[in-house]
Amino acid sequence: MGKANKKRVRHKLTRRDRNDYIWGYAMVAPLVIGLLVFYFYPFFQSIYMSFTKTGAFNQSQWNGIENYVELIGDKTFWQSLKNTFVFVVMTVPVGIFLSMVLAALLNSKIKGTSFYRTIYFLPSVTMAAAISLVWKWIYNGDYGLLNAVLGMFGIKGMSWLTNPKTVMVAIGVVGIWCSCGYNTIILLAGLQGISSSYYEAAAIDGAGPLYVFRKITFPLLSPTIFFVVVTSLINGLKTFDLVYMMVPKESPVYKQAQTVVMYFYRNAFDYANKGYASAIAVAIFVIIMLLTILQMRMQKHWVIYE
Amino acid sequence: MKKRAWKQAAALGMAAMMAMGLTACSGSGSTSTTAAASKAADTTAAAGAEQTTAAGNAAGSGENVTLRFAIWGASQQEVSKQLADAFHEKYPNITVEVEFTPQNTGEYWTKLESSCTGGSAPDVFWMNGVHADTYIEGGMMLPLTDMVKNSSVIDIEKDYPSTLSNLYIRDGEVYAIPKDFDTIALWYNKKIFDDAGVAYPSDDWTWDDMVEAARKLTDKEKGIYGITSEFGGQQYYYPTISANGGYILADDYKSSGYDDPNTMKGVQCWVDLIEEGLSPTLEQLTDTSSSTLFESGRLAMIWAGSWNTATYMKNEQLNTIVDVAELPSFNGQKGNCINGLGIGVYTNTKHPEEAKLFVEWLGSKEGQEIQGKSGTVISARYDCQELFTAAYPQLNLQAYLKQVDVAMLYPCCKVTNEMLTIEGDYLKQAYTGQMSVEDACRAIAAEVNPLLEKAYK
Repeated sequence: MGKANKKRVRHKLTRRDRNDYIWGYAMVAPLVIGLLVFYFYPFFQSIYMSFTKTGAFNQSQWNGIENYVELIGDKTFWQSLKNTFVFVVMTVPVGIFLSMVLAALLNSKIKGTSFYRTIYFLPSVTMAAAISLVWKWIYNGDYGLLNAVLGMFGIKGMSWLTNPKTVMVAIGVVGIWCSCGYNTIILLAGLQGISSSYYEAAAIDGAGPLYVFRKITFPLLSPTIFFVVVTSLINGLKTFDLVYMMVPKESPVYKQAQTVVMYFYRNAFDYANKGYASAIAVAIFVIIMLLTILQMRMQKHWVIYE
Repeated sequence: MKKRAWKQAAALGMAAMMAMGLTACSGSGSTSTTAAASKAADTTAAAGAEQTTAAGNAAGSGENVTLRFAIWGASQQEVSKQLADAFHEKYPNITVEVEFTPQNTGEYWTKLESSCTGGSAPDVFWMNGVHADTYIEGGMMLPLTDMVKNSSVIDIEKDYPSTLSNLYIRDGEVYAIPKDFDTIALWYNKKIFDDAGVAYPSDDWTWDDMVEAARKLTDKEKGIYGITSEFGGQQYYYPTISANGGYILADDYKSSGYDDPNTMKGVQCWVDLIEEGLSPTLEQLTDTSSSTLFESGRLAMIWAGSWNTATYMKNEQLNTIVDVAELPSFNGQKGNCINGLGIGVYTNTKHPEEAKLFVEWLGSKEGQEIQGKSGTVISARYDCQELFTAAYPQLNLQAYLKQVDVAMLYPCCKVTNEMLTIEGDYLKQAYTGQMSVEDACRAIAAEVNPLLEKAYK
């Protein structure tokens, strides 16, 4: 960043310029106001509330760092954080890999690309509640579709959503299925942005497909992959609706499946303990921010901007 | 160089926004229904304008008013609308909009709490004993004491069982009028009994009689179970705890009875059913609930609350082949669990007089009769309780009413939510065999007692 950039010469505003400015601000105002009201204000409010003891109906009293002290000693919080990370580690790499495969397939010249694109994207625009209901039935131990199919091959299925060993895998599969379409579309856009001249040149030089992928596709796609990795990680850490819908409170594996956002929700709305819930939210925010900064630092080792 | 720095900043900013979205969601309340309700008010106000003057003097200010009435019972949506209509007929200037929110996973309470916080709560809403302390102490419920004192249609001491009305009375102030109550009974599928050649349950059955019948009825090859031991307090282990002489809360609320040997017996009997294979496991029942099994004819007997009646009787495969019996006894002792709902008024309602009038009418014989005749719930008023049994004369619904006297009150205290979470965490481990019932109960008591001591010192 050159110093020269900072010293901008100030032009005198003409009437037309001013008019443009006014229009410009007027155009972004709805978005900015929305952000201020629905993002920034609640964000700072949450940080404030995390230092209070806030009960039902937002009656609060200053509590210092007590919420955070309690949080550090809270086994359920750590367990839910662990569950969340297990979910992320399981879903993010596999999900991105599958998205890349799908994107590559869609990028090749096959018939009906837009049809497939729609199909893959469908889960991303379907309500999580509907998805959960259908998958709950698929995974049902006694009457589920999955076990019926397995049964045809002589494999005895199990109750996937109530077994502590399988519950996160089962939900992870649904999570991947949901997010794959969105990532695929983004990666596909990235692939289509790569100029075909590189590939033609590589073909003339006799490069094999793997070599082409390693030396052309991957480097040129890396900014898109980076974007997908960052957003997937954030979304994974914020997982709530799927697990909330698929694992009810009565489930014997509730503790093994509860994500950290579910624990936040439970504290805020079931226990009316919003101060403590805010502390959890701030903790998640800090974790996500640290991870994202780390990724930003790491990107110079593998992300190439043209 | 420059371009990259910009991109980095943009990416970081974007990531921060996404992370912020997370914290941001903790603060927003819900106000979506207000607009719809007020719009509806405009239209009804126009329609009812002519009638207003006629009955106007009877209803508070006489202006056209729309009240929002929040409920959570899915099977009671219809009767709630009937009540609203009947009330509107009597007081044409007051229109009542029924707002239904399901509550299987607590959404009703989430919504009510945030709308109370945001000042846009429904004028009149259902309340239960578990949440009463929170809402009364939070100042969200309008005292109805004056209305009750001056009322010619409600005598809270004579008309209602004190067990129910006391749920909403604090220091002599009345905050809600009892709406209904529920107890538990044993439903059975006569067809499964006939097929297996087993005699139907009777009101004087013992627990062992029930288990014996379940042994004969369970046919795993056909996928038929005799009984289910689903995980739940109100419909399952609270009644057996009370029959065994155990308890959940001490009379002074300062300690719990989880580690009482009789309480443990009340839980053990259910765990035994699973261990013997007479009931599906907790895992199976999480996938497919008892009600689903019963409604699809795969379950011979189910312990079910009185509020389930309407649902089961709407099922056409089921409603001709079922009947009801009282819960079985332990050592000659019967037990049950009673819970009651009430109806209260939001403190900051814009129409307190009209809201009170509506609640008073709902609690009057007229309102309670309409509710009782629908057969959805047992009306709380003494003179309307019997109506519940009249809705389905072919069923032995007396079983629900006869058990009121032996029932323990559903545990309600200032820390109910925390207490029930701890109870659930440990008892589930007992149900899945990871822990003995005794250890689980002791562990619950060890965690719950300090909470109670703190809350009631």
